[in-house]
Amino acid sequence: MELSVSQHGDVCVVGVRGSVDGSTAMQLQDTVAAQLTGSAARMVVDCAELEYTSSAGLRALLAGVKECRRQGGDLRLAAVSGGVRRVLDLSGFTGILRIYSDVDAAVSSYAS
Amino acid sequence: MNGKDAEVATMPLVRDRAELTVGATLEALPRLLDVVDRVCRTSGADPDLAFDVRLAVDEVCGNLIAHGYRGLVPGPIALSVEAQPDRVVIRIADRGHRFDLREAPSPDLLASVEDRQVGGLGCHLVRSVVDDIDYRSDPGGENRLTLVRHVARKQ
Repeated sequence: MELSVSQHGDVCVVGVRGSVDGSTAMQLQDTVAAQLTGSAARMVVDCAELEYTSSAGLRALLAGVKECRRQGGDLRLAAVSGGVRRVLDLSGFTGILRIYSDVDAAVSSYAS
Repeated sequence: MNGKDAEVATMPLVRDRAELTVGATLEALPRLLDVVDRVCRTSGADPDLAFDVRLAVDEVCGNLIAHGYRGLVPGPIALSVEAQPDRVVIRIADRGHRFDLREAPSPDLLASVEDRQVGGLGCHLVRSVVDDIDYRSDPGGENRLTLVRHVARKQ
């Protein structure tokens, strides 16, 4: 798993590449938490290059979205496809997370 | 196609099998998943099948590593992955606490973000992505889980 962090205005975008499993999910959770200190708590997780996640990855996302919303912001997903989309569906996460077709759409969703 | 077969046509898998026994530590998880990925690749499994088999092994072994030997010295996890033409058979044996994932309660998938718990989600995912589950717990202390994922799944 590789993570990248970039800032689009007041929205923080975390790109996740590769696989999030039981041995890497904590790193994702820590990275999301680290971006929250002193920011607007508006986050996008870019899943365009995310090939795989287990429930450990969902746990990291859930921790992130809970904290963002507690601070008045949100954590939204972009470019979810394939098996990752299926795991989100099976877990009921597509009903609690807002998902956009790409990063631009997810970032601009905060403006409206 | 004569129209009576609603299943998506799928290529049979090339037979392959691999085994690996590791100690139940988080550091060993990537090696177990490498075994799964290798068998799926050499057998010609499609991306969805490879994803599901990897997810099942990841969730079960992750659970074993976190809870299977709680209070005990971590013992072995013995994994076998076998591709047959129409299915993938996963066998996982351990010597830890008995845990039958078929009996784990289903998570509340409709709970709000605030109330949402991720505990139990792993077992739910395993039950969702495989077709058959068998679990035996020997009096001698070995637990043997068998998971079967068919190549062609009924929708």
